[in-house]
Amino acid sequence: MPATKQSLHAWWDPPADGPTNMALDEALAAEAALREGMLVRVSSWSRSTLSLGAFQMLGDARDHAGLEGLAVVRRPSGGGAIVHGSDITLCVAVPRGHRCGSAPQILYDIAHAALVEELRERGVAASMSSGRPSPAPPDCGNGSAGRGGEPFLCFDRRAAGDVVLPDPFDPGADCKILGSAQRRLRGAVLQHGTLLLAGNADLPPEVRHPGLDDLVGPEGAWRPPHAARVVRGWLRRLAAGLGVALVESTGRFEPGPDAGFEAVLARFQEDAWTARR
Amino acid sequence: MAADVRFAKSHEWIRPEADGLATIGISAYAVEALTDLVFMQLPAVGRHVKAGESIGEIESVKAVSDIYAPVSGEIVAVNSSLPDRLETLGKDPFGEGWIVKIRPADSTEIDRLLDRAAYDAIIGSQPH
Repeated sequence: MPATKQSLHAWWDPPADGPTNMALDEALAAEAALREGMLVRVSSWSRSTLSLGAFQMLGDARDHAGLEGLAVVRRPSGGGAIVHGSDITLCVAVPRGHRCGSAPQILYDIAHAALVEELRERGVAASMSSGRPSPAPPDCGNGSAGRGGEPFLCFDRRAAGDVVLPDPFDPGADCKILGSAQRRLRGAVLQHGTLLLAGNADLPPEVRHPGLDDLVGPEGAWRPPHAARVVRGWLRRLAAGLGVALVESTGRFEPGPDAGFEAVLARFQEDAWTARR
Repeated sequence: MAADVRFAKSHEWIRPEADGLATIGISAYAVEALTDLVFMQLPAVGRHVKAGESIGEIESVKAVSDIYAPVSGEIVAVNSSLPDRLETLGKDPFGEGWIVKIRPADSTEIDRLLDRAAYDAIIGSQPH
């Protein structure tokens, strides 16, 4: 097993369905605990899928206009629901004893600041949100409320550290392009980050959030395969910020033999998990 | 805070009571680190747990964390009003913010946990 205390090891995985992505991310967290270093899995989704935050109500998803017919998976991490399919998921895992693992905001800020730096280097006016509540403008979604009065969808919410861009259609407003949420496990912290590359064509306009391609352009410049350049730059900056070497794997992430991957995958496939609330 | 309160590395505290039960909560440090708590799920009364097993979950704005049993035993009471007043965890973590009461299977397990000084040393070394 390669030592990773002084490195950031990253894998680029092919598109997968919701349960497979969730199970691989949990396996990544287990691997981070074993290797005692930061690991990153860059992934995407084989079909448009709604991922629910750990405690969100499935019924709220079923009742939410515009989300009908989507595959649904429940994340182990918190936060609001996300429609995947036009995004890249940046899963970061660190051991609990890692300097980024002691409090949620530390890892959140480090990962997000690295993306802000990368985008600014490319001339994009990205910044980190102060987290002040702001009503979602029509261009950023319909803002339907869920439990606790917070919008149901992650990209209608604003938390401190969210990466936002100015809304080109509404001066003074912003659009969120990167949000993250964590699951703090016994041995590791798992952080799901979602970088929105473009509006999801499978969604009606009222729940479709603009991504980099819509907000910055030119058209197509931020979609795959070009998006990989941004993510690679993000990885380099993340590693540099931590003072460790970046090691990019040539293959996909393979769960360790002791990770119990099949059992974890089965859990995420079960209705009992998806409908737990 | 009673002198005989003990801590787990995962930030739960446990306090033996005169009736043989023990009260469990989470430390002020853990509450402060999580920030902006929004939801909590408690275990069922009567459940038997092993030390290190998850007995509940707590969600903040950006993170979900498990609450672990610091010792093995039977859950005999839960603070059922706590999920409706999560601010209590921050205001009074060692009093009104208690989470569950457990009947320890082996009371010596408590003695093997961290005392206050050892726990303070651990959290003092954590980056903020």
